[in-house]
This record gives sequence, C-alpha cells and structure tokens, in this order.
Amino acid sequence: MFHYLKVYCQFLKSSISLFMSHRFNFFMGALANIVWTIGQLISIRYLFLKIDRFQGWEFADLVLLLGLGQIYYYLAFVVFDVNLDRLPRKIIEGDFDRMLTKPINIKFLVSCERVAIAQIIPLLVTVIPLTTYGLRSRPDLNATGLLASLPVVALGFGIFYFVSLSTAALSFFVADVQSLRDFVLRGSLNLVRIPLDIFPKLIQAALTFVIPLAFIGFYPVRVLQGGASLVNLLLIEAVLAVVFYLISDYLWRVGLRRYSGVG
Amino acid sequence: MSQPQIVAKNLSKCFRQYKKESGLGGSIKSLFRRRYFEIKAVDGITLSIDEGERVGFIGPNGAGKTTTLKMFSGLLYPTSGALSVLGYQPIQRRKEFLKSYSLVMGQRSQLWWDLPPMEGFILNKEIYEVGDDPFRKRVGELSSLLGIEDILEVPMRKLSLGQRMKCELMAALIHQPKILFLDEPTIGLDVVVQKRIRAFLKEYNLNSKVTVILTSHNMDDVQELCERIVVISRGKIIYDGSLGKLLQKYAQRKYLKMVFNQKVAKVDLEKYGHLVSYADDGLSATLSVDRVQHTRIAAEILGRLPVDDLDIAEADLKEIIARVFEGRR
Repeated sequence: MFHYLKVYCQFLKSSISLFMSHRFNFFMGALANIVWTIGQLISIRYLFLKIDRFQGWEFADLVLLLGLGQIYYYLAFVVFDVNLDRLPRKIIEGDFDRMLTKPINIKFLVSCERVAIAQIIPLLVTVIPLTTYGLRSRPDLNATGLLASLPVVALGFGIFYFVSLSTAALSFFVADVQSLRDFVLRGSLNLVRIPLDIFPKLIQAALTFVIPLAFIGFYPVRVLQGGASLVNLLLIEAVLAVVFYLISDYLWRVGLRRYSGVG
Repeated sequence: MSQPQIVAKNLSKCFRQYKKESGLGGSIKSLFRRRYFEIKAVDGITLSIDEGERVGFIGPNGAGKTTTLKMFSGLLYPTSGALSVLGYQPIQRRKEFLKSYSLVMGQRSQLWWDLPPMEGFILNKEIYEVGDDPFRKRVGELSSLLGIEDILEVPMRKLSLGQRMKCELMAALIHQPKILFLDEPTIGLDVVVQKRIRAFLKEYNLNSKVTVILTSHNMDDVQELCERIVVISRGKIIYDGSLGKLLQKYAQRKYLKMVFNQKVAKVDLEKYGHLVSYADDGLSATLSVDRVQHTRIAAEILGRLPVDDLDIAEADLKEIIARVFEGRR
C-alpha cells in the first residue's frame, strides 16, 4: 500500500511539473469548465425567477444537485478519467505495451499515471461554493447528517470509477470506445444533474440500475432532503459498487488475455 | 555451465485478423459481415538462452521477432507451447518477474515527452522500489557511461533522437534487470550514435552479465553485438548459432580485394573466379571466389600477379541474410 502511495505521489509531482510547463493551455481548459458551470447556474436561477418550485425541488436543491454532479465530474477527471480516456489510443499506438512491463497493478497504472491538475481549479472555484450554498439553504441539515452522507459520496465515487474502468476495458475488444464512454459517462452525468423524478420510469430505472449514476447525485440529495433512507441507499450503493467492480475485473482479465498489441 | 534463463518449447502465437474489401462498399459490407483469418506469427519456436548471452533475432518484417520478444516479456499470451523466463511463466506477470527484465522499444518512449528524463528515472525508482542510495549510484554510473550527465534535467522534447535513446536505455537499466530486451534499439539513429550505443551495450553486458536479446534490421547491430544469431522467417527458426557458422553455412563465396603495382588484364583475373569489380586503369579489382578454394586461389594470385595488397573479405551480412530468406521463399 505504501509502495502505491509513493508511486502516486511521484505521479502527482510529475503532473504538477507538466502542468507548469503548459500553464496557458491548462488554464484555458479550466476556464471553459468554470464558464460552463456558471452557465448552468444562470439557467437554473433564470428558471426560478419564473417559478418557486420545480416538481417539488427548490433552487437550493438543484444547486446542490449540480454541485454534487460537478464534484464527481471534476474529481473523476482529476484522479482517473483523464487516464482512462487515453487507454484506447494507448492500445492502438502500442504505448500500452510499455505499461504492461511495469511491476505494478496495471489497473492502477492505467488509471492514475497522470493527475489532471488543471481540473482542480474548476473543482474548487465552482463546486465548493455551489455545494456550500445548497447545504446552507437547508437549515434542517446538521453536521451529523452531513458526515453520514460522506460514505454515500465515497461509494458513489467507487461506482463511477468501476463503470469508467469497465467502459475503458472495452478498448480491448473494440478499437474505438470513446463515443461509448462519452455516452455512458458524460451523457448520463448530464442527466443526473437534473432531478431524476422528472424523467419517465424507464430512464429512472436505467440511471439507477444499468448505468447507476443516479447514485452519485440524485439519491444523495434525496437523502439530504429526507426523501430517502440513508441505510437503504448505502446498502444499494455497496452492492452496485461490488457488482461493477466484478464486471470491471472480468473485462480486464478477459481483455488482457485477448490483447495482441500492435505489429 | 550456467542455467538457461529462457527456455521455449514449441512456442506458437496465432493472431485472428479480418479482411476488409477496399472502398466504401467494402467498409459497409465489413460492418455487417467480417471475414476472419488466422495468422501464425510464431510457429513452434524451441530455444534456450543462457545468462549473459547476447542474442540477435533477425528476420524480415512480420517474421515473428517482436511477437517472440513480447511473449518472452509477458505482454502476449502464447497460443501453445511452453515458456519459462528466469523460472517464471511470463504471462502470469508476477511482480518479481517484471522487476527482473526491461524492454526497450526503439520506436516507443517510456519517458514523458514534456519532462526531463530525471523525472522518468525517479518514477521508475519508485515503481521498481529502488532505494535512494543505489538509485543515486546507478544514475551517476549510467549517465557517465552513456555520456549524458548534462542533459538529465532538460525536457525530453528538446533532446536529439540519439540523446533520447540513451535516456531510454538508462531508464531501462535503473533497476538492474537480469534480462534486457531491445526491439530495434538503433532505429533512426545516425552512425556515430549507433556505434556509441552498441559500445555501451557491449560494455554493460560484459560488466553486469545482463542477458541481451535484440531484434534489429541493422546488421551492424547484430555483427558488433551478438555472439549468437537466431534467424526467424515466417514464425520459424531457420538458423540458430554463431555468426561465424552462419557465414560458413550460407556464404559460399569470399571476396579477394586486390591492388596491383602494374596493370593486370581482365582475362588474367577471370581465370580465378567471378570478377565483381575492375578499375579502368587495371590497378585494382575484386574477385568473388569459392569459399573452400579461397586460400589456394589467393596464394596462386600472390605468386603469379604483381599484387601490392590483398584483402580477403566475407560476403556482406545483409546479402547473406537476404540469400537465406530468398532460399526460404
């Protein structure tokens, strides 16, 4: 474990050095993300100038939902998505060979080789104020309630990681899986920034059990609103995390066996 | 006698590929129905390699050299056969096995393009769990041997191809591997850098007893570095032995390069063998003669013609290898 921590620290240091040598490009990328979040916030605010509640949801709840969705989005991008997005290219171009020769867990190496330092900026600039606002507007929430929601967020992050790892593993079977990853991860993530209960039942079920990204935004906010049981949510999340871990593990094992490199 | 480090028995690797007809129609067809076929990249290879050997794998493109190397290093699952490298089954990718070798690919980099090589070495230090003191010592030794002490802090993208290759080699040797796999290590490098890299590898092999296994299309690499040559064609080993024996087996002729102190007529030379080159002034010529007869013919020429200088040369290795492959077609 300590070995992996030391390697990760080195990944982090190298990523910071890389960030410093491409500051302008990275800052512009971060700025684009900040502008996107502000645009979303303005849209919600504009909507709530016309109405008081949206199907039972108040402005602060939607801000909280947007904030949570963005936490996962940026955190995932900072920690692993920037790397998993590159896996198909690495396989096609033969760079994956180099990774396979390293005496370290291949999933760890593929997931963590680079840390997207630039995305920490929009994470801090937009997400923390958004979430703080959303939470402060709910005086019924106390510190214990917030602490209890942390495992929900952690398990949700685990589900998100294993879904992302599974879709990345499909690169061993299909040459280009980027559009699938965009559909599953980005498309679904856009949907879970909107209250799930406004969608038809079929979409609700799909976002709960097929691509369970509702567990990283909608359900945690429901628990904070008092509309869902924390224990039930934790249990379902734990089961889904295990299921998606097993799926990702299977896909990686079979995928590595099929891997043929490039000529 | 040392124990073999690599033992392969009847090792094979097949790839499944699909054929796509050309044009838009072909693309649409292949979307619905693909015609698959199997390629036997490696076909029943059997060999063993001892500790400290320098072995060159040569063969035309697609012969199966790199596929063999990738099976040895655990990147590819063999389709059939048995393989043991340092007592491990490579494909299990055990940590101890992965720590005991290095793979350098001439066309791929393991160091980060935008960062100085030192960052990559430190990363390898952590990944391979090399201690601080041994690491510092290794960096000092290797950078001085390779002559790259001054560029360790310069971003990779600012280095020349030769400097980058030296850095790649250094990154591969930080953890003192027992086996070094080199896939086309001198590709694209100029002659001077090629020579330096070959000299380094030879010296390193002699000092550290690391086993060096190399694939190359550059016959100078093979001639200067490898004591043993494995010639692969269509996935099969067609020759495995020393360079000298390869020449004996396939080079049936030798070349007599002569300089005369007075003009010698063409007809006087053609009696001894095939005239490969003849200077207009008649003062120098090259003869191709039968390998078995070459000493007798050379002695005869020295006795009968006004020879100032005579050099007996082997056929060019490239030609011999080309002849070996042509014979297989």
